[in-house]
Amino acid sequence: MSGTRAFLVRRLIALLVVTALAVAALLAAYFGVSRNSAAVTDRSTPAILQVAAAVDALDASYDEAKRSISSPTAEFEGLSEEYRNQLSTAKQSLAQVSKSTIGGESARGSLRTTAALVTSYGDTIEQAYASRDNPTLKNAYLGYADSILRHDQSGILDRLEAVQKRQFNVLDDQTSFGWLLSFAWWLLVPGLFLTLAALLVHTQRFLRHRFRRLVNPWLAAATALLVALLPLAVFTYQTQDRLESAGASLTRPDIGHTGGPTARKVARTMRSAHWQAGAVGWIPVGGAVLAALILVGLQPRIDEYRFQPR
Amino acid sequence: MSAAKRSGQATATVLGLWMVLLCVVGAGDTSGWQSRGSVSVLASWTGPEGDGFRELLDTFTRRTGVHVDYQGTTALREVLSSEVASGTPPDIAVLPSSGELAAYAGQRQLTPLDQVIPSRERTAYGQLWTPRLSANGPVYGIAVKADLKSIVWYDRDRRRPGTLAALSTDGRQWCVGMGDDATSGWPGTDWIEDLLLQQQGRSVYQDWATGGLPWTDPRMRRAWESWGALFGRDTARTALITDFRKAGSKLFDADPPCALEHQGSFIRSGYPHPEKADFTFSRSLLPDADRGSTAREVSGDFAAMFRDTPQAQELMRYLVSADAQRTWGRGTATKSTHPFFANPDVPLDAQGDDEVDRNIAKTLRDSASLCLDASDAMPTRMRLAFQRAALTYLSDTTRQPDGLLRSLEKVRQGLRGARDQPWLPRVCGSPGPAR
Repeated sequence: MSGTRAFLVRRLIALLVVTALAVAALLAAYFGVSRNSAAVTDRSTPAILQVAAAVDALDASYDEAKRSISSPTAEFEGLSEEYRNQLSTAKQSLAQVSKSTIGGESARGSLRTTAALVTSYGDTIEQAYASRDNPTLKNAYLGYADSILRHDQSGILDRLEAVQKRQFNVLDDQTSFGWLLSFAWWLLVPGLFLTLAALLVHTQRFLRHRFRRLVNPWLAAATALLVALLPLAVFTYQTQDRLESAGASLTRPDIGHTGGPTARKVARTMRSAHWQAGAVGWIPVGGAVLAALILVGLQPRIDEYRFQPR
Repeated sequence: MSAAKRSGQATATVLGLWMVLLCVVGAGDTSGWQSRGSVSVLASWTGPEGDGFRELLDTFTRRTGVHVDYQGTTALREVLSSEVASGTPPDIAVLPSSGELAAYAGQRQLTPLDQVIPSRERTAYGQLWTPRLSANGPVYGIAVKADLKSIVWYDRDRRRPGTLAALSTDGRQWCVGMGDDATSGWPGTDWIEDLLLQQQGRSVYQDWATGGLPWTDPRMRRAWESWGALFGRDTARTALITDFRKAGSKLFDADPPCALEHQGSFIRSGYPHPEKADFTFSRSLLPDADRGSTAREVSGDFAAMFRDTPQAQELMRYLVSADAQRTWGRGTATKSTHPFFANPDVPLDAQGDDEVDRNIAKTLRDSASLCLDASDAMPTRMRLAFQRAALTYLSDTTRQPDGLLRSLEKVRQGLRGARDQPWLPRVCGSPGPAR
């Protein structure tokens, strides 16, 4: 009989180890997708839209400044309201995004520099306005302002483009189903769960054969619990689908002046992904229940052999 | 072994596996590598220059285990002032303007370096390179990099040194560009400064750069007028709309429109053919200059400590050491951007790889009389007004500069007694220790 006991102990260990691995893999795979839904709505979307808004506002501000300086009413109108709005939009967007950028420390440094350059850009436009009666000087200042804005690499717009590129890379990581997740969802998780199911079924048949009971209810419950994998897989598929469509909304070229609608669209797309993301907390609980069911199902059978001589 | 014990072991194994898993997940959130602390540095070097400096900082990290967080920005003044105002200055900043250094020292934002840098190392630098608020007061910054101004560049394959003087009297032969984005106009201030220095000598220049000489002084006026007369209308207007980085590259065109460029030693690395560029001292080419003048204008990048931490002290000592500067120079000698140094103990061969570079380094080391860039040494408000006045003057050189000079003088008067914007007590001196 000691052979049976040894087998049962080995089987218990195997079941618990496979359970731990399967639940860990599921947790990682589920978390790998669901964590992105919050990151995309709460962090990436505002950061990307703010940079795009700043780029659009600054780009438009230059032509507007140029127009208003040459306007016959410049003397009493000053630099136009339109220009001031654009500059202030750019400044506010940059102030916000320099705290919340998803491009990391280098993007943050670059945004600090950019914010400082925007101030210099505004000053230079003011100088052009102040020199409006001296066309040579006015054009020189407008040229400097244009260069602050569009200088190759060191200009404001190129810097912002570089920051945005970094942010898009992060967004891409968040919204794409990388090889690691594909591996986890197509091979690792199904493999481990099928192994677990096979072990449970085999154990069930062994016990029926050895102890002449029709069914071990605890192990049967554990096997049934494995079916919970299916809704989680469906949730993941849906979340991934939504992430991809949010990613597509954010990479459209016109997001600079459609910031509000784009943000609402992303929020709408991702809304139901949020409660699904909450399921991540239930996975360890489910794992603990699974382990407990296996333990409770097998331990009494092992204990039956405890006092028998070897 | 009893069955209970065995199943206990099984549970322990499972628990252990869970713990390992949790640790792996948790490790993703920590940065991992523990160092001997860190120090943050802000400077204006970006691109290849920034890479060279970063390499130096990496060497420091390898030697000491202190991590360095470097931020390079082309808007140093604005970024630094916002960081200081928000109470989060970098530990060390490298300022290209000795005037701003003085302002921060005046606002008690800087740590005096007398206790930080051993006196032997400190006195190796001449007084010129270690700005103070009063003649014998504490040192607040040390020049970790230097450049030579008062020089004129030309294409040595095309021009013989003997022909330069004849070319220099024709305004069209000067390649000039005032544009530099937010700081446009500084090349113009360099012209005025060098004209005053080469025409009137070191003591008048120092008097002016330290706030003692009125802008309306006839000698000042003469410098402006000789500048305007030399350029005439066309060169002046071209200068206004030309970027300073592009001005000098015309020297090497197939059919060059101009032959000379008055610009600091740093410009060489930006030329399309640096190997063809040679320089001569500006005293022999600027109008009405004293041809025997030995005074040279220089600029420096001054490292200063905004936060007194052991790591910042360690990096500060490293940056000013001849050893570090030799490493920095050698590391970048084969690349296009050569740093030059104010520390006389850095060997010449670490400061570039040809005769032209060595001549610059030798001038910085051996000249009897060097003067810091006056506009860099002035309070910020004065410097900005000076830059704008230079631009305004170039927009119409036929107008007398008197109106502009009167406005500049008003700014100077307004800065009198402004404690937060002090003038330096001196800007000229000899490069090495007082002997």
